[in-house]
Amino acid sequence: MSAIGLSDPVTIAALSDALTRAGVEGLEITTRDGHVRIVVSTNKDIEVSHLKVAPGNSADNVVIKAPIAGHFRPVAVENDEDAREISQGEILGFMAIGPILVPLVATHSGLLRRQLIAPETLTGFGTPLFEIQKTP
Amino acid sequence: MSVCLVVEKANASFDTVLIANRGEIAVRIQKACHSLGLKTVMICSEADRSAKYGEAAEHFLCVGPSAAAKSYLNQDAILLAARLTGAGAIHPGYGFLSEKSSFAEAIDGAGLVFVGPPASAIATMGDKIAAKRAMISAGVPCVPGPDTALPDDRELVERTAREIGYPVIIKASGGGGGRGMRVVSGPEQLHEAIALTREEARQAFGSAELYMEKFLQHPRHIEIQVVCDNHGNAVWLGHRDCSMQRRHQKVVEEAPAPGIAADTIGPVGQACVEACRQIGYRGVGTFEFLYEDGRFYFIEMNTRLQVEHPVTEMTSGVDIVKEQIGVAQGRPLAFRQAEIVCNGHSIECRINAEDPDSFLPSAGTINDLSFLEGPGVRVDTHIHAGYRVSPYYDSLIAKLIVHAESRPAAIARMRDALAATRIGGISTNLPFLRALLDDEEFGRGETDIHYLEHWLKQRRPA
Repeated sequence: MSAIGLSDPVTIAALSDALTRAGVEGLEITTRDGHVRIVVSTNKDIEVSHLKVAPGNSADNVVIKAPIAGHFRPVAVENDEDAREISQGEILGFMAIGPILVPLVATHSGLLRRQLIAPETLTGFGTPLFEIQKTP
Repeated sequence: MSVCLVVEKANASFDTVLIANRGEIAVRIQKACHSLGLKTVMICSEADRSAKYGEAAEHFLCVGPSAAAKSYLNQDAILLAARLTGAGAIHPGYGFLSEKSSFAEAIDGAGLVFVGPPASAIATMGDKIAAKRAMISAGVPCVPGPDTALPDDRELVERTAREIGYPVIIKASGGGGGRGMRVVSGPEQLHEAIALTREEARQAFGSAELYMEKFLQHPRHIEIQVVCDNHGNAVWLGHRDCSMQRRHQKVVEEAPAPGIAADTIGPVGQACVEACRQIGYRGVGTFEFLYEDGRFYFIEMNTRLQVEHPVTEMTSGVDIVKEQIGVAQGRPLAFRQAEIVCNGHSIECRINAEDPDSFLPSAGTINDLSFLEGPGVRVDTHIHAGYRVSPYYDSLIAKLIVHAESRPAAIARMRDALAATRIGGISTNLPFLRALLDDEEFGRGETDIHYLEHWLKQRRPA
């Protein structure tokens, strides 16, 4: 059995359809490489989940890019000047496609230096969203 | 409870069209949409993210990585893009998903409008045996050979080949574009050719089904353009000659096809229109024929807009893309058959980013660009100075189209237009096109589909 692609639109669509048909309100899947939460509800509450992922490369700064097209929805809006500590695996925000929320996960611990686009911006695949300065 | 991906079923009215394609055809469709007062959504891959044509769209959304399989061929990503942007219709252009019946079905299932024919018509015409059966039923002339799949019975296959008469050609039912076919000149090659083609078909098209036809030895490639609405109107817009091909890829196209009399082509055009009515066709389409010794033989129908549609637009005066979108909106055609009068002659040259001798693709940044402007000259392109030609996609970067009162005048105009065209920073096939337009045989017209390959062979140094 092949691994689930958590940013794969085919998977997202199939899961979402299945949830709707079954009358299920939400689903979370966590694998070694990622984490997805799908919420089928009328309210906009978002539960934040965390996961561990494999370490990335050794560059000082890493950029988190959009894994899928959607509306960018950061967990917390920070001023550019206010860098904050984050942990590897922390969810920094979501790409929202209607009720589907695809999490944006910090691949490294460090300082979240910049959020690169405004909340609720319609954002394409691969767009840089966050810049993280890795902890040595 | 709100629910996800399937949106409410829409009627045919829409104000925003998502263009599920790239390059020159995306620009062409965008122009047609804007002239109809429609908004556009453009999609792109990461490789095309900086394309300027996206700036004129309401939204320009990257849907995946550079590999086409993960972006321009990713049906779900494109449907998500339509949902995110509120597009009510999707225009597939040509290539990519334009002839995927599953894509048309998925769009319909999502409550959106597919700017193209019904999925059932795409599926029928994608199956070459089913298409041939439908054409025979409608009275469209076909290549001699049964309209059934080749059986496994060796004796029956041999008898079929004898009855057709050698040489015959073995073709994959799901094939196209010159792939999955093999010519058999005598009975001693028959079974091996079938075995090889069957395996090739299984691997390339997912179906091992084959069929057999008479192999025509020196045919021309002639096309008939049709457009049909939802109100029972079907019209053909004249014919094109696309015989100038290299490795089954068209290089130069023209309308009308030289040397074919109106009373020869007329009944074939009418048969195409009748076939469209019989199969419930909607939108634009092209019937492709081989033409040899004064007779037409149907080979396939392309259920989409063609690359070479501009030559028909130039001679017929019909904006084919606008009509196609109008049909998708549920409007009746703006004209009847009797109103279609084709004037003059039009030629299109495909300008490719490729080495003019080896034909290997050439990627890079365009640093100089200039086309001839003036009456009777049209350029369909997405490139500009500073544009980076990507190695990921088809090498077509521009279509140079001319129109004049006669074929000799059109050739002269095309020579001028080619001479004036400058594209710097990459290699293009411009030198090759200039030489071809100077060729005497091309000037006389009526060359067959093998002519260009022979011409190229003669030009190669020994």
